[in-house]
Parts: sequence; structure tokens; C-alpha cells
Amino acid sequence: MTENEEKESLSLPASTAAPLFFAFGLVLLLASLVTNVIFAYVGAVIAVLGAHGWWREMLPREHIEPVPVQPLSERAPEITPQPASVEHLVVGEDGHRVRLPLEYHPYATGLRAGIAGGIAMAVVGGIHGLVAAGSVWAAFNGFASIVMPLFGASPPPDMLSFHPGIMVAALGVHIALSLLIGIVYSSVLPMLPGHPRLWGGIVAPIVWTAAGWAAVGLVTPDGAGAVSWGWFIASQIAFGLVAGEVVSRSTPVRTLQSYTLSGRAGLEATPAQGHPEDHS
Amino acid sequence: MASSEGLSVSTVPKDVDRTWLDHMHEWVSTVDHKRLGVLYIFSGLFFFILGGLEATAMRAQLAIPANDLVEPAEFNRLFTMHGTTMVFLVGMPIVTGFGNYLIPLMIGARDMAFPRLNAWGFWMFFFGGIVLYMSYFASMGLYGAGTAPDVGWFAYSPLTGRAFSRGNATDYWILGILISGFGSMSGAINMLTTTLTMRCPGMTMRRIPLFVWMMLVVSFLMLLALPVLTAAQVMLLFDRFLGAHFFDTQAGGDAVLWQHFFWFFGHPEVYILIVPGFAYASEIIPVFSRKVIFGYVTMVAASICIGLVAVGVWAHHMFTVGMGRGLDIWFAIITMVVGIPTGIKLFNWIATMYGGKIRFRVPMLFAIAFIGQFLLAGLTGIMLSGAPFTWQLSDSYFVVAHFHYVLIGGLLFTVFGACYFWFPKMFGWMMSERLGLWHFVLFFIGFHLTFTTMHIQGLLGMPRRIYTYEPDRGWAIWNAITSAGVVLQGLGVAFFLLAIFMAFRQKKPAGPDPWDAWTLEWSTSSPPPEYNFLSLPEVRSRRPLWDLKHPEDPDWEHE
Ligand code: HEM
Ligand SMILES: [Cu+2]
Repeated sequence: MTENEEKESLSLPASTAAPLFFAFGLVLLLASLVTNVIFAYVGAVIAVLGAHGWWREMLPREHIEPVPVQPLSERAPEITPQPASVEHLVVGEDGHRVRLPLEYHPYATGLRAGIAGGIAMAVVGGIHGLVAAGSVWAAFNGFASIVMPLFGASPPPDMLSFHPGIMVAALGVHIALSLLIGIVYSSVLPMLPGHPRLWGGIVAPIVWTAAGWAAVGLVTPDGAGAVSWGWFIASQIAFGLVAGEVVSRSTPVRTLQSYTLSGRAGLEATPAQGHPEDHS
Repeated sequence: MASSEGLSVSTVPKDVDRTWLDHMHEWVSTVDHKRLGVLYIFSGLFFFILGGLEATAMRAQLAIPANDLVEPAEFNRLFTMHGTTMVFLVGMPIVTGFGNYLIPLMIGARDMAFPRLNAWGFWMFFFGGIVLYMSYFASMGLYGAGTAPDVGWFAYSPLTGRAFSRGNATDYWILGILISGFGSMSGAINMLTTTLTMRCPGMTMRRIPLFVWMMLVVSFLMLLALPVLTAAQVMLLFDRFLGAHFFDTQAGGDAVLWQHFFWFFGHPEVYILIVPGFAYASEIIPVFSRKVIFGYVTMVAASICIGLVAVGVWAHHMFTVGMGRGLDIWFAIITMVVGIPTGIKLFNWIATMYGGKIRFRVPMLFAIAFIGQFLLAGLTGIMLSGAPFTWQLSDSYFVVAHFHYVLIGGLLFTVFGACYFWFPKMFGWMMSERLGLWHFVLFFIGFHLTFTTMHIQGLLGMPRRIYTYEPDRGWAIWNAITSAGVVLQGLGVAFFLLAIFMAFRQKKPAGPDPWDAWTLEWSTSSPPPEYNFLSLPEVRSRRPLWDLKHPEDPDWEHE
């Protein structure tokens, strides 16, 4: 910044009230619709004056104004290297409250886990349909009811046969939700102690089922009866086991965008710079 | 011009010599992006107080069953003015205001690309707001019918037809929003152009702060969505003044067409309001975690995805219209897809905090609360994306709870955080940490009292926009709690205003870089000089100030 110190002023666009007048004129013009036509005349005149003023700010030459530079005393001091240097946390350091994620799974793993889990879940769904209703399609038709009315629709659709439209809807919802949950799993499972398959395959299904059961029961008391919760859990477990498997098999990345490990994994933490009211 | 006799510092009149008229003149004729930003933000806060008072009146009416504090017709006006004010006169100007103030500073520019257009945009917004509120005084018109508009913030047809909305109240709604919409569009053009063309040397698109990236997405959404609303409003004016029948079903028009137009604007609009919240959080969280943001590129990609998907989901607001199965399914599925990039962002904020050396200062408290609240808001959003679910709960208090979770729990919390974070930069004084803490605690508890319980009323079947209800419905206790929360929120806001007032009174100097932060705005003085930077900065990484503070371990070695 030294080369500029002898400059006394800098040129900036000059202040002008022309845009204000232009805006005010336009507003009066429009407001005449709900007031009186006189507003339109006055507004038109003000708008033209404002537009003209604005025009003159730009042409023939832009109107600029010299702005005096700040006296040295008011300027921000140049930034100097901080005495407190970067503190690299050592993994497993005594007394540190965190377990540091040294590596993590890229979001692509989550997407893959979602797809694989989604397929496993669909297989279980199909088996459920076969066993319970004698048709593979029963579960898919049931699933589509998340986005379309099937129970209580009139005429009631035949829940046991294949309907291309319903299938597309079921697939769309299934893919969207599987991808979302896949990403959730790939981000969360590696952070939990123990094995991803345990959390994804046992704990999460129970939690989801409880939440789903409570919500469906509240919103549509009849709907809760229509869901076979045992199979619901089974399909969740299938999803969780497979997604957990994919997550645990994927190689976690140590770096993204060729960033160093320490930076990426969050290993660098600067000490706070000693402000008076700093608690840290 | 004032300073033309001499350019040296000493001839500039000192503050004491100037009357308040000189000050006023400076503010109304300014084209400086920082002053315009401040004007935007403070006008937004002013309208926030008005909208808040309207909400308080409604909650007072609903606090107990069969209450008659507010008349039915007045209640309709209150929720219309409240919604319209909060979206168009609070959310929009605050978003544009922070964008205006910060974008040039963050990318190392001396002003916005079109400084005069910028001033015009502010005044259009401001006069638009005045026009809307003039309806309270002037819309009696010849018919003596109605004062403020009462058609709801989305002004569905046929309510807006001449037959159902006599007098001029609805016209004030149309004109006020139309006028302020021009302000927002010009602001978007300005932010877009500035970001694309005025970055300082070295500030490549891969290095601009996430704030700037997200405001770029917001500007794009504004330019895409607002003209549609403006056009629809002009059509409505034709209907009302020239006897056209665009939205008049009885004459062959189409009321659902209005809904499509409105929500084609309306859904992107909600992203125009929340993505800036993401932007503030993305700047605050790394600084107070003392870590670099996790997954910059993923964050940018997720923002762009959200921007793209956000323009394809509008009809999830119309599941109850009877659009037909095909459209219902499409909009349900595509709405669920929005959850994916949104989830990614949540993970990245959490991963940024993970292992960091977190400083629990007021801006950070608001940002952390935002993360949890926004997660819940997104989950109820995904629930509502199931069309049959929405059939059950549309137009109930569950939906009201959902969007207040997003707009308050998401946007407003980060706006408060942003105020505490950037106030020292804007005015040079620190805001009191103690008053800020009071503000946070009261507002946080009040918010959850009000809006967490509101989900339950919704599930119990309480419709929105009713002015009262019978005692035997089982809603009374929940409504009482909901209304009680408003008191705490009001107190919280009072502490906020007090904190601003005290900051100007106590004048505790902030210095250029009170938070030990890393983006360019913190390298210049607080408040920054009119020209922002004496010489244009040159950057080599996403955290230029980090590089200067830590020459032994600069970022550009890693990026
Ligand atoms: C994961 C993201 C989201 C999803 C899936 C979602 C979904 C939905 C759905 C389906 C509705 C319609 C409910 C009905 O009318 O029955 C709705 C309403 C609404 N949402 Fe969201 N939403 C999301 C995020 C947001 C955000 C970020 C905002 C604002 C910042 C927002 C604001 C609103 C508003 C204002 C309404 C109600 C409009 C009205 O009726 O007045 N939503 N949301
Ligand atoms: Cu929406």
C-alpha cells in the first residue's frame, strides 16, 4: 500500500439526488391509479426531471468527485504476521475433547450407498408383497402413496397389479429419498463409534420406525394400520446394512481439491487472538 | 461540489460544522454502496417493527378462545400486511442491504457496478413500502370499503377481483409490491454485474467468499422470479382497471393461473430469503470455529443446485388445487430432491465446527441455533412435500410453523448474527456482548415457545387465518403458549434495539478487525472510507487476511 501514500484524493461517482427524483416521479405516476390523475402529471414531470438529471450525471462525461483519502491516523494499520502461530492439533492429544475425523467419505460414497441400500430395500419390499399379498407390486404401489392418493381413492386402484404410472412415482420418491438418506449415512456413520453396519442396520431402523410410526399415527390414524411395521423395519434394516456396508468398504479420502491433510481434516486451529472479552 | 476548493484533508468540514440538514442531504443523495446498504438494512428493521406489531396483535387475539379483541375483517388485514411486510419489506431489503454493503468490500472493489442504479433501487423499494402502508390512510376511496389489503400475502384470485375486493386496498398491495420489486431487480442486476466484473486482482471465482457466491445465486433467482410476479401484477391491474379477465373464472379467465404465476415467483422467493441466511452462516461459522470452511467447492455446487432446483418446485404450494396426479407426483418428487443439496450444506457447517476452537460469541450463538432450527424446518418441508400429507395439513398451523421455522429460525437468526458480526465494521463500534446474550436467550426461548408448539395446533387441525376458535377444540392451551412466546421474542428484540442504541452511545472502538477474521472487508478501517481500499488489494487465496497473518503457513499453498 506504500506506493499510494502520496495520493491526496481518489475519484468516485459523485452523489446525486437524480435517481431519487426519478424513482419518486415514477411512484407518483403509478399512484395516480389509486388517487387522482393530477398525481400522474406531477409524477411525469418529476420523473422526466430526474431522468434528465441522471442522464447529465453520465453524459457527456461521468460526473466524478474527488474524495480525500483518510489521514494516516484513521487508516487500518497494515496487517502484520501474528505472533501466535498456527497450532496444529496432534491426534489423540491429551485432554482434547474431540475425536478428529482424519478422513472422511466423499459425498459420492453417500450417493452410492443410497443407491445400493435403495435396491436392497426394494428387494425386501418385493418379498413382502409376495408373502403378504401374493404380488411383488403390492409394496411398490403402497410406497407410491407417499406422493399420490391410493388408499381411499375412488375407484380404488388394484393394489396387486403393475401400474406403470404408479411405478414411476414410487421409483422417483424412492430414489430421491434413498440418495438423501445415503448421504446422511455416509456423513454420520463413520463418526459413530463401532461399526457402520450396526448403526445403519440396527439403531437407525428402530429410530426411523419409531418416528414414522408416531408421525403417521398422529396425522392419519387409519394410515398407521395400513403399514406392516414388521416389514417396515425389515426393509429399513436391509437399507441400513447394505448402505453401512458400502460406507465401510469405501476408501475414505484424505484430501479433496489437493488440499493438505491437516487443512482438510480440520487439524489446524488458531488460538484466539486475546481480545479482552474472549472466553476461549 | 463541497470539496472542490481543496482536496487535502484539512479543508473537509468537520462533523461539528454541519447541520442535520447537511447530513440528511448526504444520505438522500448518496450513491455509495455502503450507505445504501445501511439504508436498506435500517429500513428493513423499521418495517420489521411494524410487521412485528401486526403479529403481536394477531397473537393477542388468538391467545384465548372466542376472543374479540380484533375484529374479523381487521384480522384479515393484519395477516395480509404482516406477511407482505415481512417478505417484501423486511426480508428483501435486509438481504439486498447486506449484499450491497459487503459484496464490493469482499471482492476488493471500490463500489458497485452501477452506483446510481443502486440508489434508484433503494428508493423504489422504500417508496413501494410507503405506498403499501398508505393504504391504511388512503384506500377508503369512493366505496368506503376496506382500508389495508386483506387478500393474504399471495393474493389469490378471485379474492382480488373487483367484485370481491372493492375500494382500492388491493390496488395498493399490487402497486406497493410492484414498485419495490423494481428495486429488488435493479439490486440483483447490480450484485450480479459487480461480482462478475469488478473483482480485484487474484480474486478468481474459485476464491470469492462463499457469501459472494451465495448472493450470486440469490441475484440469479431474483432476476428469474421477480419479473414473473411483476408481469402477473400488471395483468391483475388490467383485470381491475381495464376490465381484462385474466384471472376471472366467470368470464373465462383462470384463477389457478394466478397461483402458478405467484408460486413460480413465490418458491424461488423463499430461497431468495434463505440462501442469504446460508451466506451469513458460511462467513460466521468458520471465523468463530477458527477453521477454514469445510468443502468450499461442495458448498458452491450445492448452492447452485439449490438455485436450479428451486425454480422447478413451485407447485408444491398447490397440491390442494387439484392439479392432477402427474403434476402432483412431479412436484412432490422434485421437492424431495431439494433436500439433498440442503443436507450437504448442513453437514458442511457442522464439519466446519467439528474439531474447531469454537468461540461462543453472540454471532456464533445465532449461527448455531440456525443450524438446528433450519434442520427441523427442512424436515417438516420434506414431510409437506408428500402430496397426500399436505392434503391433510395444508392451510393449517403446521404449514405456518414450517415456514416460520425457516424464515425466523433460519433467516432471522442469521440476520441477527450478521448484525452483531458486521455492525462493528459498518459503524466502528462494538455491540455489547452482554445485551446481545440477553437478546439471544430471550429470543431463542420465545421463538421455540411460539413456533414449536404451533406444529401441534396444526396436527390437531387448527386452520391458519382464522380470527378465533371455540374453547372446546383442545387448542386453547397450545395457543396460549404460542402467544406467550411472543412476549419473550418482543423482549429479545427490545434488547437488540437497546444494544444498537448503546453501541452508538458507548462508542467502544472496534478497530478494523475485531473478530480476527479472514476476508477482505476486515482489512480496511471500520467504518471503511468511502473508497473502501486505498489501493486495490491483491489476493492469492480464499482467505487473504489469513495469508498475511500467517506467512509461515499461507492458504494458497493448500488450495
Ligand atoms: C427442504 C426444503 C423445503 C421443502 C421441502 C419445503 C416444502 C414446502 C411445502 C411442500 C410447502 C407447502 C405446504 C402447503 O401449502 O400445504 C411449503 C410451504 C412454505 N414454505 Fe417451504 N419448504 C422448504 C424450505 C423452505 C424455505 C427455505 C422457506 C423460506 C425461507 C420456505 C418457506 C415456505 C413458505 C413461506 C411456505 C408457505 C407459503 C404460504 O402458504 O403462505 N420453505 N414448503
Ligand atoms: Cu415452496
